[in-house]
Amino acid sequence: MTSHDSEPKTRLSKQGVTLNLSLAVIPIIQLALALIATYWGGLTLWQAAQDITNTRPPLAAVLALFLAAVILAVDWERLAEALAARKKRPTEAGQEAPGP
Amino acid sequence: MAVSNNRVSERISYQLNLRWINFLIPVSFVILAVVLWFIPRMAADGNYLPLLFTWLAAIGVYLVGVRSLDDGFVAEDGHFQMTRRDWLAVGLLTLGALALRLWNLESIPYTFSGDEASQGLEGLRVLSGELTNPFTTGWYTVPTLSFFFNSIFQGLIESRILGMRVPYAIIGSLSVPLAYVFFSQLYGRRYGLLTALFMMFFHFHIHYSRLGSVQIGDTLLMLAALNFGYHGLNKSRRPHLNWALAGVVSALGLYFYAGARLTVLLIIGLVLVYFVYQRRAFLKAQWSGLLTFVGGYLVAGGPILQYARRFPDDFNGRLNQTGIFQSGWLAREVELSGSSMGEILFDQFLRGAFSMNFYQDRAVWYRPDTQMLDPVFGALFLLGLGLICLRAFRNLTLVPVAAWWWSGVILGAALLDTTPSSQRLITLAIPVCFAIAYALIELMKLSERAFGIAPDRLVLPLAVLLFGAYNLNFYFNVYSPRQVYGGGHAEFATMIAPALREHTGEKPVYFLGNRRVDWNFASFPFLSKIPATQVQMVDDELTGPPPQDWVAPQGAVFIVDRERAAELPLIQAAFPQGNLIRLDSPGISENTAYIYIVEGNR
Repeated sequence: MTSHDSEPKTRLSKQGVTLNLSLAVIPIIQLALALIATYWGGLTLWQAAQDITNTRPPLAAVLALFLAAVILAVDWERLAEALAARKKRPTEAGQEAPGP
Repeated sequence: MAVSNNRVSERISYQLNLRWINFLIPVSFVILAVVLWFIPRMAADGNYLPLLFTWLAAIGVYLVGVRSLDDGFVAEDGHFQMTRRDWLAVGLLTLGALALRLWNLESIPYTFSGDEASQGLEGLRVLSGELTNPFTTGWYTVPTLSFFFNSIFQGLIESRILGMRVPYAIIGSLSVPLAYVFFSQLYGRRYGLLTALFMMFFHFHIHYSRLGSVQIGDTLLMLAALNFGYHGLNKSRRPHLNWALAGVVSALGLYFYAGARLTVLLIIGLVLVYFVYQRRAFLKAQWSGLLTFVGGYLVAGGPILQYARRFPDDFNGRLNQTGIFQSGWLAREVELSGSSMGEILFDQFLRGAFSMNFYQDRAVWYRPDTQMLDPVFGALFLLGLGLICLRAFRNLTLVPVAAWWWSGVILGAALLDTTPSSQRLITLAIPVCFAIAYALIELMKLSERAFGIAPDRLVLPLAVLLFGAYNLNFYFNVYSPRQVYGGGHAEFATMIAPALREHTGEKPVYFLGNRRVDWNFASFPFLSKIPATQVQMVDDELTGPPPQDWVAPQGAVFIVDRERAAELPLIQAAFPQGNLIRLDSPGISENTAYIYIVEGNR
C-alpha cells in the first residue's frame, strides 16, 4: 500500500521540477526574442529610412517591432502555468474526466 | 457647550460655503457676460486692458467659487504624495532643463526666423499701443493674446532675440519637471524620472524650447491640463478645483498655437473612454467635476470662443490653409497623383505615425535632415508604443498616453498638408519619451524575472547617458553649425543685423537683394530696427554707378547679396570713401553679405 502510494508522488514532483524549469526558461526566451525582434526591426527601419527613395516604411520591420511588443506584453509564464494547471488537474485528483 | 459651539461654527461654515457656491460661480459668469458684451462694441484701437483684467478676474472668481465646493474634502489614503526627494528631483530637472535651453540662447539657433520675428513685431505693436485687442487674431491668424504675453518679456529684456526666446525657453523647461510629476503619479517615480530626463535631453524638445515662438506651449499646456484632470478624476486632491483648472488650462490653449486645441479634444476623448468603461458609475462620481471643467473652459475661453463664433474663418484660418480637406489639398492630390483618396489618407497617416523614425521633418522650422530618433531609441520607442497600445485595453492608466500619441498623429499630421511638419508635432515629444522609458523599464522587469538580477541600476542611467550624449551632440555640434533653421533669407537678415544697427542711424539703406525677398520679410526690420520706409529696394540690376544723390547728407548704407556682388564695384567707384564689411555664413546656405557704409558729411 505504501509503495503503491508513493509512486505517483515521485512522478508528480519530477513533473513539478520539469514545469518549474521550463517556466524559468520562458522569460529568458521572451527577453531574447523581444530583443532580437526589436534589434532587427529597428535596424531595418533605420536603414530603409536612410534611402530617401523609400516612400513607405518596410512592413517586415514594422511587424517585427509589433511582434516584439506582443512578446513583451503577454505574460507567458502565467499563461503556461494556467495551461499546466489545466492539464494537471485530472491526474492530481487521480480521476478520469467524467463521462457524458 | 463646546459641542454646541462646534455645531454653530460648522453651521456658519456651511452657510458660508453655500454663499460661495451660490454666488461666486454665477458671479464669474456675469463678469464674463459683461466682457463679452463689451468686446464687439469696442473700437479696434480701443483700450482693451480693463476688459483683459476683468476677464482674468472672472477666471479668478470662478476658481475661488469652485474651490469652496471642495471644502471639507479629504482625499483617501494611497494617493501619490510629493516627498522631499521628489521636490529635489523637480528642482534638479528644472535647473538642468533651463541650463540646456537658456545657454547661448541668443545665438543657438543662430538664425532668428521670419516667424519668430513676425511674432516679435506683433509684440512691439502691443508695446507701442498700436495693437490693443488681446481677443482677436493677428499674424497668420494666431490669437493676439500670445503677442501680449510676448510683449511682457519684450518690454523687460533689451535684446530683441532674447526678449522673444526667453519666455518660451522657460515654458519648455517647466514642462520637464511637470512631466516628472505627472508620470510619477500615474505610473511610478521610475517612469516619471526617466521620461523627464529623456525630455530634458531630447533635441526635438530642446530646439522648440529655444525658439521665440508659441509651439512649445503645447507641451506645458497639455501636461498641465492632464495633471489637473488626473487629480480631478482620481479625487486625489480638491477634485472640483482641479477639474476647473483643467478646463481653464484647456481653454488657454485656444489663445496660443492651433496645436494646443488638441488639449481639450484629448480630455473630452479620455472622458468618453472612461465613460464607456465605467458607464453610470463614472458619471455618478464625476458629474459635478465635469461641470466645473466645462465651466472653467467657458469662463477662460469665452472671449476667444465668441471671436470664433463671430469670425469662424479667421479663428480657423490656419487650419483652413493647412487642413487637407479644408484647403482642397486632398482633392487636388487625388487628381494629380491618380491615387485613391484612401491611399493618400493612409499615406498621410503613415507619415504621422512614423514621423519620429522614418520620415524626415519637411518644415523650415527645424529640418534636422535626419530622423527625430536615432536607431536604438527609435526602436525602443516603437516597442514601448506597441506595448502601451496593447496594454491600454486592459490598463486604463495607459489610455492617456496612447490617446495623446494617436490624436496628435491624426490631427497634427495625417489631416494636414506638408506632413510631417515638426512644429505641429512638438506635443508628441512627451509621449515619445514616455514610450522609450516604458519599453526600457519593461525590459528591465523581464530581465529581472529571467536572470534573477535587476540590471536597471546600471542600464537605465547608461541609457539616459547615451540618449543625452547623442541628442546634445546632435543638436549643439551637428545641427546648430549648419544654420539651416529659418531658411536662407532669415539667416541673411540675422547676419547683417548687428552691423546695420551699429552703422545705419538715419542713413538711407539701399538693398540689392536676390529679388526673392524684400525688407518686409520680418527678420530684417525686427532685428535691424530699421523701418521699411528707410529702405530702398534696388531690384533692377545696376549697369552703371548709382547717382550721387543716393548718398544723403547723413550718408548711406548699401546691402549687397552674394548673387549681386558684381554690382558692388560700381557702388564703390561712385562712393570711394566708404567702408566695406563682408559677412560669410559658416552654414550650408553659403550666404555672403556685403555692407558698404558711406559716412555723411554731417
